Amino acid sequence: MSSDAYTSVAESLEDLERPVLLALIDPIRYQDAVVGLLRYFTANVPQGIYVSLNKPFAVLTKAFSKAGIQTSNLFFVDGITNVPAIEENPDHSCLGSGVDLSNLCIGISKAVNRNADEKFIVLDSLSTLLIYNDPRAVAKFAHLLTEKMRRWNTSGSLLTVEMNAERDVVSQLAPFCDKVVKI
Amino acid sequence: MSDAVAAESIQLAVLDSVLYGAAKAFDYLGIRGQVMLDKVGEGILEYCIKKGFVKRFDDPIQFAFGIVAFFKDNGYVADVEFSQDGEIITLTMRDWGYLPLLSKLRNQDCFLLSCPLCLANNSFRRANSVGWKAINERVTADGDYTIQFRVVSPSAASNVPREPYNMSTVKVESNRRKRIGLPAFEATEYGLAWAFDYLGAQAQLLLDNVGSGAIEFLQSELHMQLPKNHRKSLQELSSFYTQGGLADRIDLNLSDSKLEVAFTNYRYAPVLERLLDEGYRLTSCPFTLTARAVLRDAGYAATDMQWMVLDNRRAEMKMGLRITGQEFDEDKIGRIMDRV
Repeated sequence: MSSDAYTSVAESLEDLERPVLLALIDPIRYQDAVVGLLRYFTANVPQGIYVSLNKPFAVLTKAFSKAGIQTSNLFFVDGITNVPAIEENPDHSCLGSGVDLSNLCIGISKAVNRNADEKFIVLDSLSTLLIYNDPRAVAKFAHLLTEKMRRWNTSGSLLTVEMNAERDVVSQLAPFCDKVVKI
Repeated sequence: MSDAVAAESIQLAVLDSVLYGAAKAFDYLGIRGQVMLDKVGEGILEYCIKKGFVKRFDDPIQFAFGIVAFFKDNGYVADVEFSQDGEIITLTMRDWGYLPLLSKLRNQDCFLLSCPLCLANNSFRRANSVGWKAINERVTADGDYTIQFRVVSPSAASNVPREPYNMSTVKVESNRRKRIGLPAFEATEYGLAWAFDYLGAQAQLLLDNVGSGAIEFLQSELHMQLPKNHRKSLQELSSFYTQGGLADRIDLNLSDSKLEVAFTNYRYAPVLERLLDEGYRLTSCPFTLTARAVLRDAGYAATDMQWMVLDNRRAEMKMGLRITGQEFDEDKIGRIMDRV
């Protein structure tokens, strides 16, 4: 299944250089879709930043390794693990659970500025941000992040799980991205 | 017979509120919503087996009968008649606790099925690479529900026949006074929290939608009046779920920055304890799901929900609250990002 996700991402991004993608993911296939997406980016870009608001860093590294993804070139920004204060580590930083949008932006900037290598950014996911923030604020955050991604010359993807209309931010976010891919 | 003959019961309306909410929450996915709901069935089986409510048998028919016996013993259905003629299977449910909900949902053009007995069987069949495709259904004047299926591959399975029975003509007695055995309540509630854990924290969004649907059920079916004032609404919910048997007492302490809830003789406590022991972060307590919906409608987001299970089925829940309308200043944060 993750190879299906890989193929649909690869086909959609074929002609784009440093694409910024909005991935609209079927909740039934979430795990496979994330692995397929990550497989695409790790195969095409030397380093990556994985911003996780859904699962702790420790859980993700195990899952990705098991799926055959090289995690040594990934830096994780963890916004879900409960920590008393922000922690910086060689392969991940912990911002604490329920991190607000401003601190999340700063945490991502720090991760990008760790070195000058070419990178991709995966944000997992906008849906989690919608639990704590209203859709307008999430749209502003996504706008700012995609603008910075272009300035940093990073490619990447913002993930969102397919939601009902009330929580749907896709129409607001699509104009900021090069492509919207339904996986 | 299953091993879980209910000694203690809870009002079916307590469970119905979340079952209705679950069907409505996944309706936007169309038929794929049933795949999400069937995951709840996996969780129900997981709980029943772990707790010894249903024995695991190698023979799938014997196991399926064990699931039916469990729900029968817990008062969810009086009887289920099963017959098979080649590829055609006929099921008749007598005094089926889900019929009022089925009717209500169908009359709103929601064709998803959230009956816990059916979800458990759907997931069991899926695991055994078998599917049943509904070919016709009817409801008798006595309220017996009969459905015929054809055995198909799991991908072709469906709970709704091509020409669904006209449920608007069905007169069903409300579940308002009915009760269900605690084991069936526990198993369903566990299934609901367990099912979406693979999505991580964002699954809370789905459960929040279940909470919104549950509120809709309480208002439309039980005519609950929820005042505009969220504090009073929470009191209403506390009173409804206490009367329904979710807990003997639900005490609230609400401020603008937090909500603290103390549950006494909390019938959800065994589920909560197991979920926490197993490291799950999501919970499916009907009161909590509906409380989150009320708070969200009042402009609050729950930032961090912490649970503590105490002795004698007491539990405490604390959640931080944040006003969701707070602005995100793009320009200001953008400048800070440039300086990092």
